[in-house]
Amino acid sequence: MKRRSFLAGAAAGGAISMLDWLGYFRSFGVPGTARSLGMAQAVAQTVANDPHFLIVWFQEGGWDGYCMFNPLDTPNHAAMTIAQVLHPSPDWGDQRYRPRGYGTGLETPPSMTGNIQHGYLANDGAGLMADMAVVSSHSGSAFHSGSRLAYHYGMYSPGLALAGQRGPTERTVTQAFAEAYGAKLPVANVSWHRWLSDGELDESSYPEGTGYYEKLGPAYAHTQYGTTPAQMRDRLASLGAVTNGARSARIRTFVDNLHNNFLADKHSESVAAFDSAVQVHRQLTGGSGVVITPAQLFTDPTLRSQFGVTVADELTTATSVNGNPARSKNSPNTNVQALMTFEMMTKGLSNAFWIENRQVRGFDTHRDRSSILTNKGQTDQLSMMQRDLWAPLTALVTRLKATQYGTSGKSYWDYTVIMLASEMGRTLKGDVSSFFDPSSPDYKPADADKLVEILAQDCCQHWETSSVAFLGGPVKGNSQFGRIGTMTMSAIPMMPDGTLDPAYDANTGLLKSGLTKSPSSFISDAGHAYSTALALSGLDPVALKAAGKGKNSRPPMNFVKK
Amino acid sequence: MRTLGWWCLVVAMAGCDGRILEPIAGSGVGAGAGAGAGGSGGAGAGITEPPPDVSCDTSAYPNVRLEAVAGTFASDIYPLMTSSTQGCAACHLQGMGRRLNMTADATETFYLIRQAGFFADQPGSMLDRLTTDVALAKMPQGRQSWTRAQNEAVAKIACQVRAFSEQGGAPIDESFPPNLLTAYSGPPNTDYDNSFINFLQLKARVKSVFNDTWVRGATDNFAASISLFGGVDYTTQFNEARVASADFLTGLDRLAPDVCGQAVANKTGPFAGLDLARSVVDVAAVSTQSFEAEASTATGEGGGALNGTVTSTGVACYSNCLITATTTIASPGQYTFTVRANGTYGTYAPKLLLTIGAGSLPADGGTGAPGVAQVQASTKGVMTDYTATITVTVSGMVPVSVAFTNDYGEPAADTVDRNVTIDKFSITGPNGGGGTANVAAAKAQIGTLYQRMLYRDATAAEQDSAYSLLSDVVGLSTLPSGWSAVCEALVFHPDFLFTVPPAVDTVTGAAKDKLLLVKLALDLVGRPPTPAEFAMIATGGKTFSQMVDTYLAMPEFQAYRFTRMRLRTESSGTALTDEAARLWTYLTVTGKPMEQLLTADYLVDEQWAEVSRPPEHGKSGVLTMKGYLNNKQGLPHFNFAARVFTGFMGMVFDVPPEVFAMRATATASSTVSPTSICFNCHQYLTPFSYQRTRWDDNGDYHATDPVTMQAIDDTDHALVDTYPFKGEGMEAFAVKAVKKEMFVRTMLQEQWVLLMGRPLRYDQDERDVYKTLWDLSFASNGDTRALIKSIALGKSYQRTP
Repeated sequence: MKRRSFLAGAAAGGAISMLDWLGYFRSFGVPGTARSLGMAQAVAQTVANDPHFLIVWFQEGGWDGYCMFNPLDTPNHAAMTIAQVLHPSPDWGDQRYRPRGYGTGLETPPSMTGNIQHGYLANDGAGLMADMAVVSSHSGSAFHSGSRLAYHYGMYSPGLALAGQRGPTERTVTQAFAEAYGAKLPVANVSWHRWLSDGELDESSYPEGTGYYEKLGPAYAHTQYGTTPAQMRDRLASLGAVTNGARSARIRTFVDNLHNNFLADKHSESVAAFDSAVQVHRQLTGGSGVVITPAQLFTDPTLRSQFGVTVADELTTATSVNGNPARSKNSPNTNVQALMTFEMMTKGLSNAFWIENRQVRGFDTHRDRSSILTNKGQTDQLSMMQRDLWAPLTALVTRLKATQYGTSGKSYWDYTVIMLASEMGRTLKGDVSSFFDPSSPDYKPADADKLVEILAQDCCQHWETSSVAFLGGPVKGNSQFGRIGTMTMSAIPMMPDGTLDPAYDANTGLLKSGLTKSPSSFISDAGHAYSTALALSGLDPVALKAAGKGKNSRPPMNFVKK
Repeated sequence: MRTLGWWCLVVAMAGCDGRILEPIAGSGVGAGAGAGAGGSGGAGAGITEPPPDVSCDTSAYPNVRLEAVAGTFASDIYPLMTSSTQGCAACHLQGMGRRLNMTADATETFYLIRQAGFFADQPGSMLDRLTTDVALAKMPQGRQSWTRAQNEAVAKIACQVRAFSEQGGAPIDESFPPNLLTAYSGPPNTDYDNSFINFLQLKARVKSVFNDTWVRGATDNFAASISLFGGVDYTTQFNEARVASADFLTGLDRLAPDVCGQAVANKTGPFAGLDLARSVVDVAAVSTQSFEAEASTATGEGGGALNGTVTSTGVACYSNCLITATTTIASPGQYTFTVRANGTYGTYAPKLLLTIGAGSLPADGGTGAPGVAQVQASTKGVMTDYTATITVTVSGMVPVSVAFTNDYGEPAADTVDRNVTIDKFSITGPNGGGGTANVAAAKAQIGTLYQRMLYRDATAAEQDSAYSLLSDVVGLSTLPSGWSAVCEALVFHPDFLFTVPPAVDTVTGAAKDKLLLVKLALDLVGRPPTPAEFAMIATGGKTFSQMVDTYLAMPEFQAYRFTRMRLRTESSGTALTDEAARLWTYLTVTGKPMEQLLTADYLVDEQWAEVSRPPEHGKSGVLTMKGYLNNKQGLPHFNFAARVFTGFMGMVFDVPPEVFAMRATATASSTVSPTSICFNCHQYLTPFSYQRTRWDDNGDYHATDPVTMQAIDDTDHALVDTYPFKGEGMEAFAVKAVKKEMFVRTMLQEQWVLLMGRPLRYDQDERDVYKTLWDLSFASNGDTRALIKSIALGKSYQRTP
């Protein structure tokens, strides 16, 4: 009778959507085994009652902040003819280097889109800014691995030790999110970040359980690597294949008993990993009731066209950085990651995602002064930004807005929070004073040596001046908080309500004469971003920390919330 | 597992509420991009005291005894380090990734600090970090600064340590750590020792057990699944999975049905010689179940009221009636149904329909229909037994019934009212039942599968459980499907997936030796033992110790060890980048001193032969190999130096938050500045980087700068007084490095990790093992094979108390 009523409803309504299935399951149960029935109901209830989705979109390598959301207009001395003498005009330390063509064509000076001031690297995201809150008083870290870890785990007190053993109360932002909202999803927490893909990280220095540790919190929240569409399809094939039918279910029962008996009363890193693997595998194969056809996932030609996916985008690449051994994130291009994210969200498979550019250190565009002057500019990140961020992000947002969540009358977009970040910004100048200072260890007595050092100086170094941005249903769109000073080139502290600290000149960034920094003003960092992402998702970061579900000590920036 | 108890206690005591580091920009008035570290927070506790007197006259401490200094440290300094207001424990307990480490033992902490050089008179020393004016470097971070008197107490300790060193003896960094000579007094370690099988071991195991490469047609399924199994091909996969993963189990979801199904179909691998066509169930033993009619359910036509009488001895039916009981059928088969009845009639005897379960009588009333038969109570007026044989096709609980149909289609009306009285009925069967041979045979074959797949006997409980799986699946499907199901399940068995089958802890004697041999073979040659190898140890032909020698002598040992060393030395999979792996493998296989890893003056070619090198290499082992150098940049980067120190000297260069801020604008010179908090790591990294400067990033040697044509100074530039590897070039570094305790320890750790799957707890409960291996490394002149053998025969590997 239940089956008949479902089919009747389906017939009346035409096509059977995923949410139709889930709604039906919730109300009437699922044809099949008791186990699959229970799981399906749970999935349906979770999805239906309090939907949340979190996407962190990370530009790994360090974006050019001054051309992004720390907009600053300067001359471009790289485009000029500079005499290679000890004291040219302007002097070396006063020169500013921008990408070649800065101020012309696509490389426009800073501009306004609505209430948001941005550099040309964000021009292609203008269409999203009505839904975006930008925090421009933000500090990254100057160290790739350390900064990445901070965006994953937040800021600690005492500090987060990279090579230290991760503790049971630590969580990455997506692990904390998935722990709260992903209990019934087959692969809740999907990441395209790979800690050891950075060749500077030596495996012998990062044994299992250190650095980025996938297995924190309950197993369902453990990090699952997104890998490629083909590999994800393989994994999801388990959803149907393993438990399909009584035979497989019987084998699974036998194997579950084997594993339970083995795991009882044992502990060590290898056992913990096996326990996680078993639990995650059960989550995947446990008859979730999610009705998908894995072979068809990520293959829809319309979707692939909308996300601009080509076959080459689905491949992984390997990169040798700074001469370190070649490593790979085992990830496809971000447009593929975005497509996979959309499908996994809307098919009830996952709700937490870490999207990251495929190329290891993709945005790490160091350039020494000599190369800058020869090239007439810094490395231009425009095409990377378009390819790795704006084009796929725009496609994803468009789809999420156009896809209704069940029969809620709302779209997936309304339940989604997206955070954009990078480890750091980059310098656009180089201070040469230490080469002339006899008290400095960098001092060079001979003029020829000074000039060698000046020309060899990296003027696209890692720099803490950076930004974060949030998008999504709960976000206060068309808003910008904080800014950098035109004189200081550094972030101006913000008050707790997001306004600038009045002790600072809002234009130059200099402390006003006779005033002191407000004790309550701050410059946001990775920890604030971590908290804000969770708070926008309806979670209380303080309560999570108190409950031992994360150690980030920074408060959320609630002013970005609608 | 770490001993977290004390850790938690101290952290709780310390409060863990250190200062939250603000970003570099600090007050927001930094000098601008690229200009330096910018502002920093305030420092100190706000109490102005005169600076401590840290002067040191070592002659003031003649004949000082280290034990006495350690005692003073324990009484005067250690309590400060563990205090809640001034303590260091929140950041410096072992395992927290810092170079200065504390333990729960004061004396041990003293020796650890001494061993790490933090009592030296140099920047970055314990005293320096306590007294520096640099806020980011000043310790303890976020807590109350130490007082003048407390700092002077530290200075005194440091001075006494230096006085002791000046009195002679082996350098501390070349000796076995004295703190580890004391017995371990911490809590016992209860971690479960076992490592998960890797991709190569899985491939070899499948080949061994199933004689199957998992190549189907033109597709190598192992290669196609390498990502799931965490293997390395140096094309798309570069990092080997170190532990189990859900993806690995997903890979098994694909592998198990395929290889098991094929093995069943072809009767190969574990199914060779097994009878897979024989039934796996037996017919149950014959039994009789009787039912008194008066105790059964008696109804009339259509379930209505009985038209008859229930007496103390039976049921008298005057018209249609149904008498029903319930029974359990143990096995399908043929059953004898007996009903005792007394019919009264004229010409046409009453007909009784006998049913077991359900069935339909053929229209002609004939026999043979499943579940049902008909008899006629033809003996007038006398209770008589009537029997029929019924074929039962179901098992389990079923109804058993006798039905009387009064008005059947007789040719003419009878002259006497037709009634029947039923006394009782019974069923007996299954006819010919009672055997156990099929079940026994199935369980025996399950035992064979356990031996062939898991290398051990199945316990009775395991046989029962696996038989239950087998019979259930056969009931659902077919015999081959059932046997494949058992096989597929055993592929997921922990005994199949860990290097030593966990069952090793439940057996003794020969059975245990067999399972330990499985691990030994997997560890040394990357595959399970062959039947001949099993036989060697089973028959007593060779001892376990001799089996270690046997494997070490095999070409397969060299081949498998090479795969490990390629990963360890971060090869890119080319002949050139394999150079370091080849040397390390060669040293291991030949038993040459392990110190030659850094001091060999030769290469090992692809044919595993020594090849001499030009003299500029000197005694520098892997350090000047083109294939090692060109993956690791030299100055202005420190990749090469960091890789050497982490890879061969066991150092971990963690970057705490206070150093983040300094890294962006640091230069080589500034890293060794006495005022730099980079010093702790760069006291090694920077001088060593200069010693490498005649070797460019391509691995080519240049005695002179190709631009300036000046000779390249590849000394350590005398940057750090206490640099322990002073001298010119890589050889100067290498010949000193190999004498250091940290080099020896790193080499021992390497062997330990390869066999045990985890680091040696050298400073905890396994300090005695460390001492044994330390001594052996010198006694054997650095023969790695001796170390491997010692580990394999040790109590951890042998799983003995």
